[in-house]
Amino acid sequence: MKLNQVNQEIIMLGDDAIGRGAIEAGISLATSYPGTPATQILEYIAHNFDGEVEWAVNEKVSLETAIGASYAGKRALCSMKHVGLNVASDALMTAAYLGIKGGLVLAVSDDPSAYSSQNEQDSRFYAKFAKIPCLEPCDSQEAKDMTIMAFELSEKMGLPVMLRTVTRICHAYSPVRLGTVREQNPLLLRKDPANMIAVPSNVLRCHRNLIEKQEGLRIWGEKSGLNRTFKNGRKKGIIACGIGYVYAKEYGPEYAILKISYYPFAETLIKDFVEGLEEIWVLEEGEPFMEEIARRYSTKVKGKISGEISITGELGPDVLSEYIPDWNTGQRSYMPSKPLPARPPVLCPGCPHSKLYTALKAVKPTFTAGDIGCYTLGANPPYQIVDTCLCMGAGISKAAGISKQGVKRVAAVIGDSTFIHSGIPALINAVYNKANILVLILDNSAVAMTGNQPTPLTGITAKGEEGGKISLEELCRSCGVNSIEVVDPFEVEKTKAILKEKLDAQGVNVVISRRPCVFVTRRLAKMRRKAITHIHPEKRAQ
Amino acid sequence: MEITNVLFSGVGGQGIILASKILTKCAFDSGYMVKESELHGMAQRGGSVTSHVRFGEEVYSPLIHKGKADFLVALEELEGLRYAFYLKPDGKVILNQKRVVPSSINPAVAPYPEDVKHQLEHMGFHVDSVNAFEIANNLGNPKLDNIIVMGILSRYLPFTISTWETVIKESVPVKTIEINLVAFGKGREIAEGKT
Repeated sequence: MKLNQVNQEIIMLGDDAIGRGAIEAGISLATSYPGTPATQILEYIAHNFDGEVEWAVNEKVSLETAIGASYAGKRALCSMKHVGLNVASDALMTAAYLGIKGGLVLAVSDDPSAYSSQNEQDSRFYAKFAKIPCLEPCDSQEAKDMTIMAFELSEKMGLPVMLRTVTRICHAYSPVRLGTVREQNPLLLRKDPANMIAVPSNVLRCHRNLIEKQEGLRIWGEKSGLNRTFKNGRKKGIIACGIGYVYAKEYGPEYAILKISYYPFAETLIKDFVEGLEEIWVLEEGEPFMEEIARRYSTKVKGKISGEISITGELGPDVLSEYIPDWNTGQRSYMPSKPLPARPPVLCPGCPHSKLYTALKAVKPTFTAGDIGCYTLGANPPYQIVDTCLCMGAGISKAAGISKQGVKRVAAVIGDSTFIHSGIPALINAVYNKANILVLILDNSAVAMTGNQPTPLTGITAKGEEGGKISLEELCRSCGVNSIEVVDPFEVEKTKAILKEKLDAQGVNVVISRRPCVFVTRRLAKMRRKAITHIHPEKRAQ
Repeated sequence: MEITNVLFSGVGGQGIILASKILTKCAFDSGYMVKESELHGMAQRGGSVTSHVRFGEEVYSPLIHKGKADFLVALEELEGLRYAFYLKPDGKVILNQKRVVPSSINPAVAPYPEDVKHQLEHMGFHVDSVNAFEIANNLGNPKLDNIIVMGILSRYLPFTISTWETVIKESVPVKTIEINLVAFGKGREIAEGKT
């Protein structure tokens, strides 16, 4: 660990700052499933922390592992992208009832504008839904500081705490002053059946406890100073949540600002702020979560509900520009005279998926249900072979649903990591309910889209060390599929022949298309080297 | 003190994240407040990408206001034209004469634009146009074009050459430090010839 950097100010990616904050807070475990824009949180910790760092197979397993560490009295960080929380929500909702032991922080990164996501959902609703507190930083420094505060709050209140960030926090650099690393909690695993076993005889009491904690959460928030008002007799104001604060500051000193970095809060905070203001803007990423509250206390509130700001897409620094007199003076519009060709993302040159898609297209499946990963790009020209994409693991189930209506030659396409994440239950379901589908597992030996993280199929851990190794063939075989074939997608003719045969076959037939991502070999070699030099500096000389 | 806004644009995989990170570190090491914003994931797969860098005494937004960029560093011509609306009226463009034709292009609807430099100049911008790809190729590594372009940009920014070189050394793989410094120097030479 780079302890020599304590008190030094460095420039940091938001994700790195969260990772650093977790290390400074004395975590004993970090766990995550890769997902843009949250991926680098765990990667930073893997490179800079001696303790347990894990890529989990999915977000639910990740959160449950973190809860286990918390039960052992330790602090744990669980990070994920916004849609990952849908997967983990089952664990979250009841974990909030039961409460936790060692501090547990859930760092969730939203992706407004869906730059690299299937939707742009707002995680603040989950915090409210689960009745857990939520902290929302506006830059890297706050991301680090609030991660540490979140751990303190978590242990004080016995609740998981959410740290909500967005793409422009996670993937933005700004200065951060590094702090000292707190000692880890001692191991303290105690049985507490009344608060560890979610059965009917316990849960109503646990729910009451959770409700009773809410007042304490509001009081903690007030004392924390995370929500601050800068007013001083101004006529116009901005309620700015999370990153909304830095955008609000761009519009100059004539705006009063209510900076919101913490939920839940007493609504008198909003009531007092809007009082006397002639114009109130609400700047928040995602849904009009705050605006709904503010509208109860003033008719002068403008934002996404009133329609001036779009609910879709990220805020950016320009959302208020057109409503501010003189802001755009002197600007001209520099649009080219002719429309410009679009440039959607494409599969990289030499990508094994592109060869596979060439073969799949040639054998003309009736319908191809895709999944989440680089291979989703098969929906775009020139392939246009992926007909649907919904969420992690959904391809196999959707294909089965279509096939069960009597449609023949239906294919599902799923990546190796996505298959492990949530494709396995879908495969078992398809076998059990006797669907007739071709399941194509694209095994490129990595979570490619997020930067080639290792998977259980590679047997390499987050730190680049030797882990347990899972065999995809044996896994599928044990699910009871009718047949398993392994092809090299670069052998296009052979691949075509097998795909054709299996599309026409009865039952659930798996074809594994196996060839590593073009970047993976290099990346994994580099990871191993880094892990050795960062984690074991003494090995450097070897 | 005014904020300096630099927008990088190009095609995912061209080394925009590295270029913007180098600039960010230079600004920081030179004592400025700086913020940078970039995109990862799906967008990086050969798509249209931008990175924003802002430095000055006090910087709030990590993203540049439309119409307020001082510099547009375009690693690809079409992506230069696409983001020109970010520039302020007398903004400066550093244009890499590289054309990456999108695979999904439909010439009947929207052809690849011709004479991008002229179009940008017609909008009133000052354009430094350079075939960095060719220079990089001559240096033996076509991927150095981003660093050559950074060499040109460096002539307009208030950081010392030793700051630039230190940051480049810290930012690129050890084996490529020397060739990156040569590429950076080439870019500076070109800019000196022009300014």
